[in-house]
Amino acid sequence: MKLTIDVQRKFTSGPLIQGTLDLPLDRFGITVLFGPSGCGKTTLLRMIAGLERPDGGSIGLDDAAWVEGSACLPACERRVGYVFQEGALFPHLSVVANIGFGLARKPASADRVEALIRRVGLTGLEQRRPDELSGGQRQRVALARALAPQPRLLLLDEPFASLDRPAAENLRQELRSLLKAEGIPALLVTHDRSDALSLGDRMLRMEGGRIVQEGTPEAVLTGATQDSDEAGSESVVLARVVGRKEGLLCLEVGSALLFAPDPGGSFRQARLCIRSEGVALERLVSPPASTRNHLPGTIVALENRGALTRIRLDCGFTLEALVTAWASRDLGLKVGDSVTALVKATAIRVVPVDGDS
Amino acid sequence: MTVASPWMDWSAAALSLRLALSGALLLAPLGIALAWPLAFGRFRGKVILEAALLMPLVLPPTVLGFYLLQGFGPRSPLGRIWETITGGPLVFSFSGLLLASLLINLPFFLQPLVASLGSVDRRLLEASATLGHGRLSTYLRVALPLSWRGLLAGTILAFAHAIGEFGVVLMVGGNLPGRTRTLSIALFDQVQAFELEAAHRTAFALLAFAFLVLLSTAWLRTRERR
Repeated sequence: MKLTIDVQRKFTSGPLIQGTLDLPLDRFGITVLFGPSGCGKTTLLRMIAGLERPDGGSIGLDDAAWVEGSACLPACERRVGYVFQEGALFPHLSVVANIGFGLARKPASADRVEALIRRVGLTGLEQRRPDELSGGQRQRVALARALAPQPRLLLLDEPFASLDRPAAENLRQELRSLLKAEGIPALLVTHDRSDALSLGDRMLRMEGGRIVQEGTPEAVLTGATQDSDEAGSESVVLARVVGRKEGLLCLEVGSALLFAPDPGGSFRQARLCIRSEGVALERLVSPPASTRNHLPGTIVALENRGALTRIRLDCGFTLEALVTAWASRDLGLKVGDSVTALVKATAIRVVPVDGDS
Repeated sequence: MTVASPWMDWSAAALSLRLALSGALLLAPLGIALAWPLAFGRFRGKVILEAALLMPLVLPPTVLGFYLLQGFGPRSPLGRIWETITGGPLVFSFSGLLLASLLINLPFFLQPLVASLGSVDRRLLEASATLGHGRLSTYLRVALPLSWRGLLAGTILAFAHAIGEFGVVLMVGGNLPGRTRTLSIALFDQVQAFELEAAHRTAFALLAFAFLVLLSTAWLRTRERR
């Protein structure tokens, strides 16, 4: 089962929003739609949900058309769940009634609601109204409410944006395992790299109304700067946790081992974000195996940016380094050279990836 | 000045109350059905429907009364059908009065309700749609319960206006004691007959009633803003 989307929407101000993407619906997976505010992410999400009518294009589920020409299947018939930024809970209904809102009135529904309340950790709050809940609790109710009717696809619009950091962190850690247990594929809109890194299986980067890049979070985020004027960038790589010692994590990336500060919590996989300023280069070709955070690699690209040089290395994964132009000159670096990258442990940010390995 | 007095026209007061209460009861389902397209509908001619429904607010009651008299009269199609079914005329009867009262009080009921419906957070309606609820179900389960203050304010306003309506009542119902003479018409009679003391009592009763009604709707509005 696959949802094929190819839609356009034009507002009087702002860019033309165009989205062309496929979403497989027959298996669990989280696709992250990533991009700055105002780039059209939410509009695209709303068109998929049926809350907004595209100006042109089509949306189809296998052979059934949801949007075709002027015909548009209403939102209530799409079986697509939607989690709004601030929950949008019904203020006149209790937690139980909110979660059960999308279910038929029958005894099995009560069991489903009860199971979800337990699953999202809201036991004891069943009869509370939304204004008696914290932001994190409200968002859990919103999530449970959207999951209750077992939608084909769950759309999440910046679900952590209105939460404080600890609440957002907690919910983020649970979201993936919850979606996986329910077996519901999801499309998550965010402008936050941490959301993308800890939750995404696949990533779509949107800019100026268009999807400009698609791939794994590693592939999309490596080399991408948050601001085009910024020289520094991050390299992102998926790593396996092999040990913990004295506040440091030992992580395996391909055949190399990296040590990085341990953010705490239990996880077996993590995405490492390595800041290019924290990577130094040496001409030493084969480092002793015991040396920490030394990675052999080959230069694949060099880019001079004034006093700085951005160097892209192949170390089994793509690693970017930012060195001064004179250091680059002194070492006589050029494309194809074999070098050793020294990665400062403090330049590595570890983002746990939950659930599956 | 005392309000309670044996010289109050109790039959007129009872008739006014009966008219206003039955009007409010019939107006609620009619108004709830009409408020939906007005608040959420996007259709051709919506502006015309809005203007037509609000017309009684600005039209002189005698103008409206005149047209209703024509429309309800024994020679009009509606009047004829009514007479065939019930055996009696629609004009100068309580039923005719009630029908006229429904038409002129509709805007008083609709305005606060439509305003309340319009202020319901759109995302709640969208959330309901993504949870599989169609427009009618969303209206009845989300929009209407969240607009209960507007619904109540509309009912109170329409009720109060029905108590005090004069021009249309006189045109359509005439002035038949016990059948179509309401409190406001009784007041007119009392003044015409120079029974000023009785007129004072009737006028004060209507004034106190109107003030209490406005006070309660104002209170409801302040609660809604919180």
